[in-house]
Amino acid sequence: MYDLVVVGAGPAGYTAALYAKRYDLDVAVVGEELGGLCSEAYIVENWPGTEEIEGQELMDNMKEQVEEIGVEVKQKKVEKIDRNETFLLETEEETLESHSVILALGAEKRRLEIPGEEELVGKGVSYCATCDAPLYRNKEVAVIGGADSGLKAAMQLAEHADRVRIFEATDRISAENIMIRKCEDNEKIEMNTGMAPQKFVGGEFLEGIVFENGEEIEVDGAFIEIGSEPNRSIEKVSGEEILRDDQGFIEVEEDMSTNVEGVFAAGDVTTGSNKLRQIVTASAEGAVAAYSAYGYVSEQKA
Amino acid sequence: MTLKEAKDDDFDQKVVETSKEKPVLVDFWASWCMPCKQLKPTIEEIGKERDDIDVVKVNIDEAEEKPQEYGVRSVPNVNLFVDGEVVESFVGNRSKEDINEWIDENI
Repeated sequence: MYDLVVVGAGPAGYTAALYAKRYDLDVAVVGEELGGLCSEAYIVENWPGTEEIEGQELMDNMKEQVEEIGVEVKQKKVEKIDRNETFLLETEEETLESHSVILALGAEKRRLEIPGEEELVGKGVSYCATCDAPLYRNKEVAVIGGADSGLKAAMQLAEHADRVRIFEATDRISAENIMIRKCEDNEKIEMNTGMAPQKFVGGEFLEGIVFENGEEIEVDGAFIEIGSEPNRSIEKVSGEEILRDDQGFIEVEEDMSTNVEGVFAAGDVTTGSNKLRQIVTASAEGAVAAYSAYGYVSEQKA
Repeated sequence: MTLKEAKDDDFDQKVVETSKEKPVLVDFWASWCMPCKQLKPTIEEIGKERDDIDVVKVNIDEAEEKPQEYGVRSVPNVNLFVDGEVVESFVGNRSKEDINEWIDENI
């Protein structure tokens, strides 16, 4: 029996566990993907106190830090959560029992949902520049999406590919100025606005992209970076629905509580932090959620 | 109970030739790829638990030709070889249960 089980092993989950353990709670972190989306991040330059660090390294550090103080980290998918007097979290192999739960479910990369996309995933269409950039040495690639993540992917791709073209659907690139300058200074990178993809074309492999304005280009790879959406793998606790807003974010109070008593939420999956969705905001929410869970568990045990 | 690693020079023997006797599951992976790391223990367990297939891992950092020959554009990239040819493949991390079902459907 745990005091707290944190579902999700990204920045919010690990920070929640770090704080909870320091309040002496018996805590486990259960996550399907250790490190979450952050581990796919190229170089993180806005984690205070660290000039730059790879996303994967940062997440490995967070994991080591919590394991060092006695938090159990399990790579498993929580299939469902039931509640009796306590919470029962079911995974493929075991069921964990806990007094409280923090949902740090994170976000998933959004898909374009245009023709050819699904068929060509892994055959030129990719959602992970960190994973696949080295496979595009001396090739031409496109990045779909002109926000921070798109520009970062472009920087990373430019280390391997010959030519990197960014296509933003709206009429402006909306990224941190520092990233825009870096892309402008990189002679391999071009930024295009007002270009919304209509379909991907190809047979065995991706060959090109057709845009809504009728333009067509030939490319070897297309990296989709159009943001993320909240993970929906857990919707209920014993039949009681966890309230989400119309975009699917779990609605939380300032103390990170949800509508279900004893269930808290933190990180990119919540409506918190004005939905800024950064590593630092996810971690902050994790800390607040842990403090609230500590209060709840103390009351339960009293 | 067979878990192997292959590079360009022994790929044909360990994968293509072997698959004419029994199916071979090939995992193209890379050290810089987090989803590959997530998938690794699953693939290894399947290799240990199943007698009816061979499981071969290929580090694309150590093998350049074969990933290209088989059109690997994303990792992790899992291919099922039967009778010397790829019959099915998928990209990205999946659960052990899903992969076992996927293998059963395709061999």
